[in-house]
Amino acid sequence: MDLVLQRCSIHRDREAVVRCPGCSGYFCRECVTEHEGKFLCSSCLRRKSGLDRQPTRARGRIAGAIGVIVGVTMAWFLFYLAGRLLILIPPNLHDIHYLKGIG
Amino acid sequence: MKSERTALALIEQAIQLLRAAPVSVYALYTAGTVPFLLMFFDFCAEMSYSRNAAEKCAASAFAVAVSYFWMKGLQAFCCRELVNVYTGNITHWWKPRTILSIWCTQIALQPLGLILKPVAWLLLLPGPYITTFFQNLAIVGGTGLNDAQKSWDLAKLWPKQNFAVFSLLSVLSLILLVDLYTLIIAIPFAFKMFLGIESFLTRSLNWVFSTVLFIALATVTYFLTDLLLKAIEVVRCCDGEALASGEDLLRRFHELKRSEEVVRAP
Repeated sequence: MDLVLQRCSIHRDREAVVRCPGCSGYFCRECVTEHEGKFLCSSCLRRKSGLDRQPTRARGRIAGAIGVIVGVTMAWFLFYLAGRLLILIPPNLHDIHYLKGIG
Repeated sequence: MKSERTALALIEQAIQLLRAAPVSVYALYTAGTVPFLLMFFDFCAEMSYSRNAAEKCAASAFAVAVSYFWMKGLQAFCCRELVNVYTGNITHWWKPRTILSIWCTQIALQPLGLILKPVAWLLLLPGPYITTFFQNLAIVGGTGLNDAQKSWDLAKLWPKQNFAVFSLLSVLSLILLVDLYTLIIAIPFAFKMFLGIESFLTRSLNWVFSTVLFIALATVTYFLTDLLLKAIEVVRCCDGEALASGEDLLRRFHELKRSEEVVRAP
């Protein structure tokens, strides 16, 4: 049904202006709050910010720590590899000395 | 909405932004980039010429990696300052928690660029996308959970403009490199010609073809052009984000309001 014909699920005397993307319920402007660019009703907002938040934050910290360790190892390994490549190049190739041999 | 800005107009806007930037932008950029470039140059020289390079390689590589993270962190803060100048909004990135978050994101994701950027430039076509992605990561990284996705979405915006910007910057970098090379070669000969000072640099031209000299000049070229690239990407990022938020329109509205107040004032 069209949004303009709907009433707020909590305040039956008010027109609905928003459909909550979490529970698909209709709500008036007073019953919804903006969260991450979406309008959510209070119960969906509580669920999203309360129950979901702790594991997400903990997971984020663990992922961050792993990311830092992987990043440091990767950078160190790549620079080490570059160093080994430079060592493999004979020193006389770094300047024009090799041309003297050819000449 | 500034969607169809030409590459030259974008570069001009970036130069204006750099001119309006406070000294903290330059201080952060220099304090971050110079130590890394010096460490990297020293690393290359040591690995090329030192007799015991193999023994020192692991430790030196770790030191270069640490200076790389130092550079990436300070460059990210420099970009935040540039964003503040461009948008006029003050984001408090200097809070310890924000600093830590930004730095961790840079440490975790920027090393990927050490592999992906050369590969992308070898394939040519993905080069600008990948470079822009890592530049965007320095600008928006550390503020949310989906930084990588956001950076990639912004990197995909206005591809024609992006390609044109990278073409112009490549030409600029090449000209700068040739200029620096010419200058470095000319200085000892100028000394000999005008002051009669002879040195080992004028006796033989072997040093001109040294790979270490080339690396040194390439790092100087990078230092001189990267800040401009960062300013360009800041402008692109802010304009890209404004497509969803309409912030550029609000900014222009406030500017108009302010100018109207100035006109009305007796």
